[in-house]
Amino acid sequence: MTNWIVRILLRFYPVNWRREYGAELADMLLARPLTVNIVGDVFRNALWQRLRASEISTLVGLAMLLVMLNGLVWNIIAPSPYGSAASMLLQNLWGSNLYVLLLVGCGLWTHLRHGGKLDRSGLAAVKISFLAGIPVMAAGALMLSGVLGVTVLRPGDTPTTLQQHGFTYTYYDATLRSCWVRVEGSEGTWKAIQSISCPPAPLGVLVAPLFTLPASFLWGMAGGLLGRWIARGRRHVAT
Amino acid sequence: MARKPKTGPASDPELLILSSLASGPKHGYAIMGDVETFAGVTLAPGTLYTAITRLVEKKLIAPQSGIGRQRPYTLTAEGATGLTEQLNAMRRIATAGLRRLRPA
Repeated sequence: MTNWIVRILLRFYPVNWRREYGAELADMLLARPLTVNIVGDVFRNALWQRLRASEISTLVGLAMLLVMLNGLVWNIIAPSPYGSAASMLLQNLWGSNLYVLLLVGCGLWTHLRHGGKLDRSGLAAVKISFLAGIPVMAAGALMLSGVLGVTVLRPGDTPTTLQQHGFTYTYYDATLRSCWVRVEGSEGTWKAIQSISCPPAPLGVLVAPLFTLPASFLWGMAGGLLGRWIARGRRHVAT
Repeated sequence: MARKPKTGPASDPELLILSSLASGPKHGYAIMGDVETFAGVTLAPGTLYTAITRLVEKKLIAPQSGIGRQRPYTLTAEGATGLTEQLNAMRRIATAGLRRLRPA
């Protein structure tokens, strides 16, 4: 039993670390009774080692995943008002300059750290985009299976809460607005018209993040290119 | 038995490991026992190996080839210098603190 727990615990460590210290740690764990405290300590340190061994793109991607997941959960529980930063980020990640800078920055960092071809920087940015897109894809899958409903929110609408609208995703439609037009033939008469509510197609939501990957690749490569210039500049200064 | 310090430099795993290796090369299990004896601190295995990893990366300690699966670790020259500096700094702080605590 202890042998089995130790083997599982060691699996949480990165492969390289395991190769270097795994046997020693396993011997130590097997030599004394395995308490809950020791299991907790080994597990916590294994995660820490994994975090240390991770690429910057994985860490940034996971952070973005958490941001998006947080946005999605709050969108379902208590949506923020129309046009708030949280609502816009969830719906259009590419509308955020910070996100684009993040992709470029990650590409730059990857090139400065590892060098090599620019596609490595591009792939690092793709990883971030993919991880950030997982909550959106999950929402699409839930919509497709009929578990998650959709409510379209117009400018000026007050969002409802989970108790009022049930398990529903609140979609913000910028094109959905009321406007006044002069009615043909009747001078001086104005009439309010409103565009038709059109919720996003579940399949579209499911695959939308995948379509952003090529653009992410390019932004990452742009960062890599910047990194290449910086590296060249450094070499020039050094010589 | 010495009171187990929960926080502060006296419970810093890296410092404890360096201090333990100051008396000669030891493998992980021996370091754990030694630290428990001289500092009254029980280093859990995960914490111990995380600290060992960091110290090896910083080149303050180095693994030696050992018998079987347990490798002994030894203090490097850099590690010895770093440990001396840290302990001297701690001694200065401890001396000053204790002097100030003494009633006038």
